[in-house]
Amino acid sequence: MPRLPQRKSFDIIRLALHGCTNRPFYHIVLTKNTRPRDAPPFEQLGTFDSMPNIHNEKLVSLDIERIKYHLANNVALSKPVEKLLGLGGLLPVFPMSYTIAKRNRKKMEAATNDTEEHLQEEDTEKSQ
Amino acid sequence: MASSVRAIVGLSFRSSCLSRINVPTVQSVRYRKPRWLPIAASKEFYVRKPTPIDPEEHEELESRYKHYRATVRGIRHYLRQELSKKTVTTKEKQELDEAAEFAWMEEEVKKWNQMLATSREQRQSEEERQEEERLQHVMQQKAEARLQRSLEAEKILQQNKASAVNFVTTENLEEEIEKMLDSRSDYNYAITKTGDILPGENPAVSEKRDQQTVKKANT
Repeated sequence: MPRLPQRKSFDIIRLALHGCTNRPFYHIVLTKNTRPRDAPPFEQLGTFDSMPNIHNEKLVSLDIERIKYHLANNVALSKPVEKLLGLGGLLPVFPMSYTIAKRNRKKMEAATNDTEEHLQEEDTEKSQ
Repeated sequence: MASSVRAIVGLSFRSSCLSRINVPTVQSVRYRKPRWLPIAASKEFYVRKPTPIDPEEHEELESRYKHYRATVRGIRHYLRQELSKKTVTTKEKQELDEAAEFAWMEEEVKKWNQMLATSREQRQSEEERQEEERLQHVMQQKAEARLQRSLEAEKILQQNKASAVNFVTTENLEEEIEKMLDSRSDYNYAITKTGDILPGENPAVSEKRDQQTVKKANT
């Protein structure tokens, strides 16, 4: 099997998937970028439950002190973690979050327009 | 397609081995290409369609990303400064602690030294006293020995002086020689078991011997 070129190695804060089947649950961990996703990390910095609970909440826990320390030490962040930290208020809101929100809004508007149109059509049909 | 067929055949073969009852086993077997195999024949000339990019969105995102990255850099810088401040304060504290510890240690050492010094002085004075006593004793013994020796020497001198009266000197040399010549004795005799001397042939001497034997017999 041919050898792959070596990747640049650095520390990163990212998500590690620790759920069961059909039940994702993430740990926010500090590891090397070259290590496997769910390998034992250097440090766990929080959790993220991506499934909304009965109150329609996605719960996140963060070790802010440690994350601040690692940010000061130039540790990289993965995009999902950046998004979470942006929503948490430690960092500015991630740009893609705005875009996705916009897209969702558009979709919703389109859906409502569709339904309204549909209803209007139905009304006109009934009236006729 | 061929691979999936192969897998299913294999499964059915295994199921027939494991159980006598021929239950149809339905299981999706997904074939994965190992990394070292070449591109599949069906995908040889496949080119992915690029994700459509909304130019309006793209522009907005670019500007936002710029702003975001600059802000994050600033936050990181600020956090680093805060951290360095913290570490500096901790360093100062550490220095203070170290100084206090050093002072305490110095004091302890001083105490210890003081204790040692007192005990040492005591011991040394005691040793000095003992040494002096010993020296005195030695001197006394030596003096005694000297006295003894001088006394003995005096005694020997007296003895010698006493014995020197009978010494032969140049003045009485002639006399002494005469005396010695006069007092010739004849040892040419025999002695019996009882100590009697049996005189020899020299008459002069034998007479004397006779006289001596008579004297001894009398006593």
